[in-house]
Amino acid sequence: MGIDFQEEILMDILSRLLVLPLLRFKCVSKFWKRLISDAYLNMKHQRHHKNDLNSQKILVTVHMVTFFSSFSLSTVQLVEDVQNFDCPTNCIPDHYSNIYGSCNGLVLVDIYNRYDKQLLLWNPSTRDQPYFLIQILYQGVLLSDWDMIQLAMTIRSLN
Amino acid sequence: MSSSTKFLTLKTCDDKKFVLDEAIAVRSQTIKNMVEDDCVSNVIPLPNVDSKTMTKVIEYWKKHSEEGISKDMLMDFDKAFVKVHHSILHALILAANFLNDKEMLDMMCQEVVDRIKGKTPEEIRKEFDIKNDFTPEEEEEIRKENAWAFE
Repeated sequence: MGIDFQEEILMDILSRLLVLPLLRFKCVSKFWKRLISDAYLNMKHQRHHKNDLNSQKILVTVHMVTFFSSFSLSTVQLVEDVQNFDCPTNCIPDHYSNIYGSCNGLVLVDIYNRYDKQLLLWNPSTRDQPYFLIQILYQGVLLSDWDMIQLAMTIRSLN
Repeated sequence: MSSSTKFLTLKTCDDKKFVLDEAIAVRSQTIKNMVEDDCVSNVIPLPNVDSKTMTKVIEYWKKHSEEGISKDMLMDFDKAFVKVHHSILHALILAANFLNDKEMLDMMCQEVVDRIKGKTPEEIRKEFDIKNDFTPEEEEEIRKENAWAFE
């Protein structure tokens, strides 16, 4: 039987799915891909999962390593649901990482070594290539930790 | 039944008539708006709903309007209610959407989600009768971009 849901109903259904099946369903058809990539679906998805403990994660960075671990806040899944991510950029191995802040599932990550510092906006749920915000060379203007926190706060207030 | 009980007649697209207590029928926001706007004459036509689907909708409405029914009993009823063939489930979603019954629509959509969340794209196409309009190369590209979701 052919199913012809109105777009709004299909959006409602898709917005309830977790990220993993959503990404998988991008290759169902062009129409599904367009819906899944739609900003409105993103907003609906976020609204739907905001208060869901299974969707709330703790992201941990290990000192001096560009490696992140994520834990679900739900106690039921605490053990099984540890995800490890590599550094979200193609940076060289002697870089370290910091998490400056997060908001609505986006994380402000700071990757650095002795020579430069990169600020990235990263979505760990989709594992998309991070959005490159700024690269600071230490020989140039040096941002203090306080500047970084202010930048994080600014990004937080943007939504 | 008090003397103030009003009845509405609903007519489905296959010309079957359902006589229903107005207090129950207004679970549909669409019908409620019509009643409030006083544009209900004798029969309310439901051009998008067939009688088989409407029978299920009314079964749901009546159960959820029963006085003194416990939450647990309703939960058991709902659980059994959504266990239907997917063609009926889809018809119920379209009906709930047309009748604008948010609670019912919500429950039905959640059931679809529970059914599809573990499926592969191929199974989704089969279930929804969707034609794959990607070229093999395009599909491969999307799979590559989201490789971890297919692991």
